[in-house]
Amino acid sequence: MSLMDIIGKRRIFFVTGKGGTGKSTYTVAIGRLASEHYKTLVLDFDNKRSTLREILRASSLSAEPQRVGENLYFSHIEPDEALRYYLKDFIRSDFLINISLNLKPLKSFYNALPSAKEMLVCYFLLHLVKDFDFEKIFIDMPASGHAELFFKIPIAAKGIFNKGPVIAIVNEMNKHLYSRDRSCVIQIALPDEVVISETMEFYERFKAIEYIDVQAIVVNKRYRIANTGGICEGLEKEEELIRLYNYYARKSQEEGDLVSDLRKRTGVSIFEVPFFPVRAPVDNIVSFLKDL
Amino acid sequence: MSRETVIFFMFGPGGVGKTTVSASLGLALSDEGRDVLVVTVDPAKRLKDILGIKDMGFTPVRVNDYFERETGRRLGGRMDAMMIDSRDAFLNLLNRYIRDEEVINQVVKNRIFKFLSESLIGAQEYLSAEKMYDMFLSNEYDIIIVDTAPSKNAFEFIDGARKMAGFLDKRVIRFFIDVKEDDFIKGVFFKRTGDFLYKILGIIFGDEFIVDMRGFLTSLSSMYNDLLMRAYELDALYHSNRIRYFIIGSPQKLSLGELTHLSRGLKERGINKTTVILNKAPFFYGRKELIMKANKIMTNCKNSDIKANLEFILAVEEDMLESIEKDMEQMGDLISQERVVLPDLYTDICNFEQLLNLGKRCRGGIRL
Repeated sequence: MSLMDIIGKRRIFFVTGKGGTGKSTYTVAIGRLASEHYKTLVLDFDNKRSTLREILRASSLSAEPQRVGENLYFSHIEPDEALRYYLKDFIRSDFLINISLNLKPLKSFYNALPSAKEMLVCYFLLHLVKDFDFEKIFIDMPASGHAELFFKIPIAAKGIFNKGPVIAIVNEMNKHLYSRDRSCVIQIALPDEVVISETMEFYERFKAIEYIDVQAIVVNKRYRIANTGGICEGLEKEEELIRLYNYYARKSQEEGDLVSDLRKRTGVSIFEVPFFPVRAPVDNIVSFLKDL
Repeated sequence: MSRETVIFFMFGPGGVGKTTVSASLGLALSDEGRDVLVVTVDPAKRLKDILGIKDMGFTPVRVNDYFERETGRRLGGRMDAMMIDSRDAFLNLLNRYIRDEEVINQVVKNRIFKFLSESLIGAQEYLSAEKMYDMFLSNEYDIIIVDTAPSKNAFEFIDGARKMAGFLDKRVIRFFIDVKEDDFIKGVFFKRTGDFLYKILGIIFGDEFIVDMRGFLTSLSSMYNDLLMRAYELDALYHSNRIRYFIIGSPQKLSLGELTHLSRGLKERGINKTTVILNKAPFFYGRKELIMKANKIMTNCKNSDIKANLEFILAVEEDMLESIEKDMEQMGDLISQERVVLPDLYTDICNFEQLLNLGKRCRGGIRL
């Protein structure tokens, strides 16, 4: 199955993986690929920092989607803005909302209470999902462990509450955001033993959540060294360089083994992308993905 | 005997070898005769694998025994390792302040307790820090090395104390425990000064939750002052000379700018000094003449496959070199740094001897 086929199957994609694997880069790259056929939104919600903005070179940050390309939109959710947005649904007066947001105890509570921010970020996400006509939405999630807690908000909430606003939100979440026919996870990995085994572990853990589904794993920054044997002239005297050369040849081989193992054990579509220099424009990756 | 225990905080993105560096540095310091504790709060549980210790948990395990068994020689000092689990840390905290078992049971059964200690984001780091502080106060170690979770959660470790202090602030807690039961349950919200806050919290979390929260906080009320004191102490510790901040970076396939991001985070928290450990430094790091030589060989290479391979390898290496140098430079503008460079040995570390060697290299670059 091609990446485009997978994009065709769902509306919402949660892009996650171990820290440093390229989640943001691939949120943009896959998002851009999707935007060739669909009206697409990419978004992130890191506190006060938007890697997506850096990659997209967007001029400003706003929670309301802004246009960043043909058919491509970008939104950045700031947790404090999510709280404001949430209160708006209940308190009509901007004046009262401002008073509330400046209440020190409320701030302390909101900051100290685990998952409160995450829940309200999801509330804003619901707004983007329900009130806009984006055909595809790509979400740059936090690293796997934190992402899992995001996915489990409904479970955690139902363990604590029986009714009330939180339950109302998580029911909406299950209806529009977390459901196997609407959304899926795309895991981003590197061809490294530790990263692959963590990817495998989280693949199992995500799948164990009944409403979460993993559709693809991207293995990024693959070394591609042709198996040649022998060395070329001038290299034979350079012991250190030979060691480096052999290291790459061995790594390339090992990476191949790791990926085929991952393929065997998960059964989902796995996309291998070669190493692109850090400064290379995302477009290079997009055109590579198109041919996959 | 009173010691000046020093805590080493190890920060770094995932996958740079933070746990390996922590464990190896611990071994090297202990080999010098210091008593060292390596604590991991990384949920990935890598420390167990690296040290080859199966049953590591909330009580420190003596690593010396394992080391001796494998290498046949002794370390100069004590080396312990432990993993902190937030639920255990919470129970530990309760046991310290609350003597009444009935009250503890009540707390543990409260849904909020489960909410705070198990499933959710942020509390875990504070609770882990709490336990780390216990170990710090125990006076048993010269050095405690804390292997934190990857970058984002690592800051939670520092911020946790201040957040907790803010939360335990009388002005916050008062709203929960001063209100009369009747008023509360009837939902007569607007009668009191703080009722507006209740209303807002009720809107966000639901009245039911607020009632639960109130029960939870009331059962803990006897320990607020102690908890608040601890949170302030911990926050003060973070800004004292008893803590050393390390940033571990590695150019291996990692995204650009993580070191800069971490330095900025530390600076924002009033921390101006750090030790940077560049783990698995790029092959050509500081060896410009070798790059030129390699490029020449590549250009003259007649076998097209090998040439393509060399070209690829050089592109990757130069890219890593460039990105790490740029990152280090940006970092230097933000925060003063002591630098340790650990070359990539191109082998995986799989025994104590190798671990200790890496640790010694690392130790060599650190002034104590």
